Amino acid sequence: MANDPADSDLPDLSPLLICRLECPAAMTADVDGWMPKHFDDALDEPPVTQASGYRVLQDFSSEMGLPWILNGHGNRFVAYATHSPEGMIEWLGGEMAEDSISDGAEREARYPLLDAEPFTGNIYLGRRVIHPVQAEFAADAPILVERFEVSRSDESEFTAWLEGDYMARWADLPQVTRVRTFKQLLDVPDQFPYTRYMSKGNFMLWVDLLGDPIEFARSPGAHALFSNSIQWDVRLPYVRREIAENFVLRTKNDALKTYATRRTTTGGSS
Amino acid sequence: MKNVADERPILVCRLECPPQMQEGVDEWMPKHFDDSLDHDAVTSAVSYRIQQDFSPADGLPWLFNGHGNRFIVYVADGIDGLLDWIDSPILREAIDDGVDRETAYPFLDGDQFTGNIYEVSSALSPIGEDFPGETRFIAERFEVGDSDIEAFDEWLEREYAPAWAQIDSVIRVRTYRQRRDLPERFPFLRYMSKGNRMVFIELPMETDLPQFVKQDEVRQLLETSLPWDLRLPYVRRELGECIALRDKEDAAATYDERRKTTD
Repeated sequence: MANDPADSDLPDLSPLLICRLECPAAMTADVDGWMPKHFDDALDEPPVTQASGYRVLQDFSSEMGLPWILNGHGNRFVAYATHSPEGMIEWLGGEMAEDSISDGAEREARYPLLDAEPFTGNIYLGRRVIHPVQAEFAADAPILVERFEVSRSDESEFTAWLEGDYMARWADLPQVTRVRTFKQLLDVPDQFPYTRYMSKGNFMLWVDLLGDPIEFARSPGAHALFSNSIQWDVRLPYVRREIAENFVLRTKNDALKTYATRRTTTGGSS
Repeated sequence: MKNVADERPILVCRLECPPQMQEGVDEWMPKHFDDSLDHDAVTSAVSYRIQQDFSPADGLPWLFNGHGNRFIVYVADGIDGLLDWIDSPILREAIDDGVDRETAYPFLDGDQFTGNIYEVSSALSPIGEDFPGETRFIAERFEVGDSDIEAFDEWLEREYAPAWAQIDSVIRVRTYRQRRDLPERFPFLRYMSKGNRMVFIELPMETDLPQFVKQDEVRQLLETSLPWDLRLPYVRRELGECIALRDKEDAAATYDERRKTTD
């Protein structure tokens, strides 16, 4: 059974900021190497509780690859968790986040458009969870994420589908540890930097996995659920499905351990 | 061996052209097409602007909103001529001429450059021309493995394409198979991209594409294609409008001017 939506104290339902990149091949080593330090800087801020970076998988091989619905553009999926929606707004509006945006600005300018946007970011609030694990991120588990842009006129039909049988069937699969749904927070100040985080995809399903994600994506159980979900591809203007493996996960403790070094490197400016 | 116009082989190149480069690329295209048309085998060339529309109420369904914003088709009078043109100084010069632009394009569908040589496998409602003037179009391209190919071709050529040809206002429908038995060297290696099957549908220029694809008949037809998205590693659907169409006559008309410029 999914939680009661009032269970907002569960860390499983913490707000998430999702940023997605199409990082050119020549830049991926540099970006991936920068990510832990960038996460630790974010974690210095009280509202930020964890941050996790995922490498999005693609495999176009004919017989053993991923199905097309998982082979789209975007190769990095980055998630930051905060303890509350207010904390998210506070963090993003703070000096540290501004420094962090400046720190990555040069890289960001070199990323190609992704899903027709120069930068893709979304703030999501947790709605439902099945099999909570009492953590923002299920350690370094691979993930499957489906994101949808749903109009108001479709919203009640869509949420009934997403958070009804569909979500429950994902949770029933043996390779799944947790399933969560999120809705995008669009009621944010109409100013920089919040306007960066208004990208398409106002609903999200997040599935934490066990084992080989490609094998899972090709399994009969996943196939049956994708067959059900794909009906939205002919109705909605935006549907993204990504399967990804974790390459960095940082917590408050991790950031604490590197704090002194980072202060030395930045000359104490942060 | 020369084909009748509806059955001529084509080269398809696709781009994700960054916004700040689009004007320059679109302006360069007619001259580039005319240079290509100087080769005896090339009979016409067309550039389409791919339409994207993410608006929740009036936009396109997601399956048409993917990456890639230009779809370019070169037609030749036969496969031997097409391959001869691809290997000719004319195309090599065009590749050199466009190299700065090309290296600035981001990867598209996991490829630095996307190009495919296709031969027609069926032509429905033939019109005896390379193109029926400026049109809008829908293309669906699929990468089909050996184990699926027989069933896929049966579906595409016997069921799906004929069903498209029955839709009101569709001008012509053609199916294509990619030619992959090419010499393993430059420049042929550029034209071995994913998408070994294609259906290409031409529509009148006045077609409102979002409305067209949302009508029940078309939506239901598209739904019959969706199961391949779960089975194949690569399926691309694109629609758009012609922004440049050139033929031999157009190229002949600019020949002297182009010679002066290059001399």
